[in-house]
Amino acid sequence: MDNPDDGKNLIQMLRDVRKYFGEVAKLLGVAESSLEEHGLELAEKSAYKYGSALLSYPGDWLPYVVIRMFKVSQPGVRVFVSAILDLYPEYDAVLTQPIVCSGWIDFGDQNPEDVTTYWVPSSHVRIGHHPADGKWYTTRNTESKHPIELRAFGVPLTSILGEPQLQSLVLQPLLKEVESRWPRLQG
Amino acid sequence: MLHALLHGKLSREQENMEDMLTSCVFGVIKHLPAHRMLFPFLAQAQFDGRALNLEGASDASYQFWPRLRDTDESACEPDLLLDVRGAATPTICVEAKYRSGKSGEDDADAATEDVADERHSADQLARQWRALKQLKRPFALVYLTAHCACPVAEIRASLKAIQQTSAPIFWLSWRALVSVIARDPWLSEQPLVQDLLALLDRLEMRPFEGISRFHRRPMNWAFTVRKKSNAGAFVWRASNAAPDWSFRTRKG
Repeated sequence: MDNPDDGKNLIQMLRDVRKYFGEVAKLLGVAESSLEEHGLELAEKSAYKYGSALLSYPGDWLPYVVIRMFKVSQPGVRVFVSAILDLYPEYDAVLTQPIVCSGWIDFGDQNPEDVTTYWVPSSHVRIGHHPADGKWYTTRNTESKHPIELRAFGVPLTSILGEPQLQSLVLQPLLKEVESRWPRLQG
Repeated sequence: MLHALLHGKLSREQENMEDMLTSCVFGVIKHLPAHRMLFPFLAQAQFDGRALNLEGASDASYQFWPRLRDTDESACEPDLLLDVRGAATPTICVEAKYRSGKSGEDDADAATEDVADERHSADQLARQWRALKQLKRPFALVYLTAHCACPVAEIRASLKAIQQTSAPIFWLSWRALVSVIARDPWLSEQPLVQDLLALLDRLEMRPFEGISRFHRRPMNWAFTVRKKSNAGAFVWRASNAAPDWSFRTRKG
């Protein structure tokens, strides 16, 4: 026997997802404005790339990760705040909850606009399987022809109950780090 | 109009019109005591560490969509001009936005220091700022938007267009209304205000308050595999083959 509420539930399910995205967008919007106030410049308007509208890629219709990336005074550096909402099933053991990840990445002598950066928003989970404990970690890819350095931390999305938590758990630690490295950002 | 919006009688395009929003929201605020609704709301306007000063304000009169003249006789039409009695800043101009940004934003080239010309800037806030200067009395310009946090770059672009580092331009979010209402039990009980809150909910104008809890609903359907050849059928990543799954209703 079919559940008479199935159709209604299907629509509601998608509306819940849209609402969820709306709330994540608010979080990233607050982060964006706060960082801009401290002199960081948004590097890209799109919140995600690498999605798909093709029938053969239905898993990519919705974003897995969303991000705001910012320029600082050093051209090869990008500061970022991302939300890892979901990843492929092979990361199920690592990604047990959505994570807000924040930090910076130094592409060295490469222009960040010429580099593939699809992995940056989810690097917290993809590279090193870091816990969402708010502790900074540093990763360097020194074997590459173009060494890359990444320094970041993550916190559970659900621990951010509003703007005060976003400021104290994510933005203040990020700004402290950024301003200690690129002090001329201010003003 | 408020009820047409609330009951979904307007098209999406009409709902997105900032004039509609201005009319509905300020149409309600106008009929409430200014010290309870208008002033606490405007008092949250700020930019660059400065807040709009409403000290001494006792009452306000409203002029919707007034025509103001610029120095070069071109006209502009902000959404609302408030004459605030008793305040150090008696004229408050409100430029309201919903989903769109400022009109006539100066492009990056035109905003460079070499060519920025205060008189000829197309930036909407800059034009209004110049027109307000012609009134020859203290004024403030409030940029009212749906942003969750201050659109710093937009306001800095306007300041650059008028060649000022600090001018009485402030930012305010529609979302601030929710906290003004929440803080005042008397306001929360007013039927008009309850309608206004419902409108803000409908337009998703609440501030960032964390992530909601979602209920998982039991559903009696599933993706089912047509062919046995592809046991994992619902793939998360690309495959060149046509999808091997379909929607089917689960029986029993």
